[in-house]
Amino acid sequence: MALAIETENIVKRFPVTNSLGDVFAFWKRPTVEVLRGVSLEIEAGEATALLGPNGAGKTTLLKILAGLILPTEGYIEIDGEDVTDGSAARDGRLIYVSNEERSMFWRLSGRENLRVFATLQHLGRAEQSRLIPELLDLVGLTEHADRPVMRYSSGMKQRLAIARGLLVKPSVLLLDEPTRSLDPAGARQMWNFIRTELVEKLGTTLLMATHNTEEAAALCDRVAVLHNGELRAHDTVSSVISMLTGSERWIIRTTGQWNGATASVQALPGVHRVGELTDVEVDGFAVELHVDGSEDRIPVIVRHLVDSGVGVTGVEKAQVSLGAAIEQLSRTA
Amino acid sequence: MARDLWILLWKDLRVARSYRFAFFVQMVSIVAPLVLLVFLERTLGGISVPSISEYGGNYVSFLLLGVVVTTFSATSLGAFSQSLRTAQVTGTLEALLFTKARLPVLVIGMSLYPFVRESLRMAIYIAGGFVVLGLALDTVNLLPALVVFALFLTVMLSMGLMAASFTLVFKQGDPITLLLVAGSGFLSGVIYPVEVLPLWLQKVALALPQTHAIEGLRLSVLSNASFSDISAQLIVLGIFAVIMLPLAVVGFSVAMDQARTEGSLAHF
Repeated sequence: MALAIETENIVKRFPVTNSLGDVFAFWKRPTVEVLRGVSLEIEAGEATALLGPNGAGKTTLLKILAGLILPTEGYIEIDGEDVTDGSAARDGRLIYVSNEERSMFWRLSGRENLRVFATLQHLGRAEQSRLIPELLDLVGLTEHADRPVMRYSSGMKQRLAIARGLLVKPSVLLLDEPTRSLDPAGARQMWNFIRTELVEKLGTTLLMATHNTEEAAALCDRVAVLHNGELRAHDTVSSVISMLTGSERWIIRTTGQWNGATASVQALPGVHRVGELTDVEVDGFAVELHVDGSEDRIPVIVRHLVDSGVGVTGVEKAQVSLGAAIEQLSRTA
Repeated sequence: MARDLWILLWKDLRVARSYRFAFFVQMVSIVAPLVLLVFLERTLGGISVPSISEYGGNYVSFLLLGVVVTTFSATSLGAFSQSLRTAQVTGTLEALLFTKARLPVLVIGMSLYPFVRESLRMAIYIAGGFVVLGLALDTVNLLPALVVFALFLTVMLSMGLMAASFTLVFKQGDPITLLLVAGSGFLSGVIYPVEVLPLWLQKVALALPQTHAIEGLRLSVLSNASFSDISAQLIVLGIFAVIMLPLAVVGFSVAMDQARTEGSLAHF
């Protein structure tokens, strides 16, 4: 399948202004490196989530793709064309929708906002008359189209921003935390809208920055994980989990507390982490272990626990969640 | 381009009208200074001032033209930086940048409403001068006055783009508007003729486009001056326009690249 987005070795260093001297001697200002050689390939029609902790570089990468920030080094292709200078957004092939609620003219109605942006996108009157009601309908705002945007809820503003992006029928849509300010029900509605209307029906290629791993798993075919400006993984959810953790998750149920055994188990070969179980309910005591892929580690650990006086009642292999894998990445990096 | 400018003007007009009281105050403020001039005219009682005899000798008419140009330049010049900052603060700038409208067109379009409002103010002042202050119509040579205004408008657009460039990079502290507005009030002959200034200040005054615009407008509106009578003012304003406009466009593009390099387009 053809590539919709291809980046090669994107580096971004932002100049830092610490003093008035830096303003005048701008050519020798110190810099901070936010992206370190990000190379990413996303196929046409694919939905990809960009995950990573705060400061990982997600928004910077989206803004570079959108042309709002120029990369220091690297190369960007959208639909096979070099757009490193940000021209993809200007010619309407790509649209970036930020989580910024204020990006609309609040005192105009939703319909008037779309009219202003449609005119600036050089759509003719006839096309506007056809397209604007269609888009308002698509994002479920027909009833509220003539109300000022300042009276819209966060979700409505977000949907209007998406409708604005669709005025030009972009082949690539960049969404920056689309559900950040929505309540759980609103977020689920938005997921459904993005997946069904944008990705499945319109076939838009989606790259979406999010902190929400549940959202990423529900909406996207693949996830890309950024950490400290580096692309640490880019694949399906299950592949990314094993790539990030490099270990398997085991749950060991015991008759009582481990007490001193925790530290000694942690010291055994192949054990990456011993921790409290947070996402599974069990009767009695249970601890999770992250152990490297070799299954023969487990009997050794169980024997060690028994020798330490801990009664083991059960051992089971468990799925590591995407969130836990990313959390682990943040802790270890 | 015309549709881009029109829709941005329409949008700002709709937004301005939605703040009903502020809109009303704005409209009232357009005519208020004219009332002051009426009382000034009554006070001076049509005294002829010898130092401004070149412009007909009537001080209130002399002042009216000075106030018109300086108010127009101050408000319209500030409009560029202000509209850009408003777009940054309200978060609409990035969304506007994703449209097919060219950037200089967007910046001019965003500043069009204050320009139109100030042009309206200018027209009302001058019309008021004829109706209320009794300016004589036979002293007006309209065509040269319009050419002076067109050239001055081009210079102000250029200066406004330069001011907006500073706003893009530094966010606050645009020195162009500050220097031009403050400087022209003192030096451009708004309330007294430039000739009363010390010689060295007269030389500084010549570097300000407002000085030439005020002079050209006064001569063509108050003294029936022809193109050849105000050729010096037209040439200087023309030179300003020819140099400033490309410089402003290039400067704005450099500022834009700088803001994109620093990732500070939407910062405020």
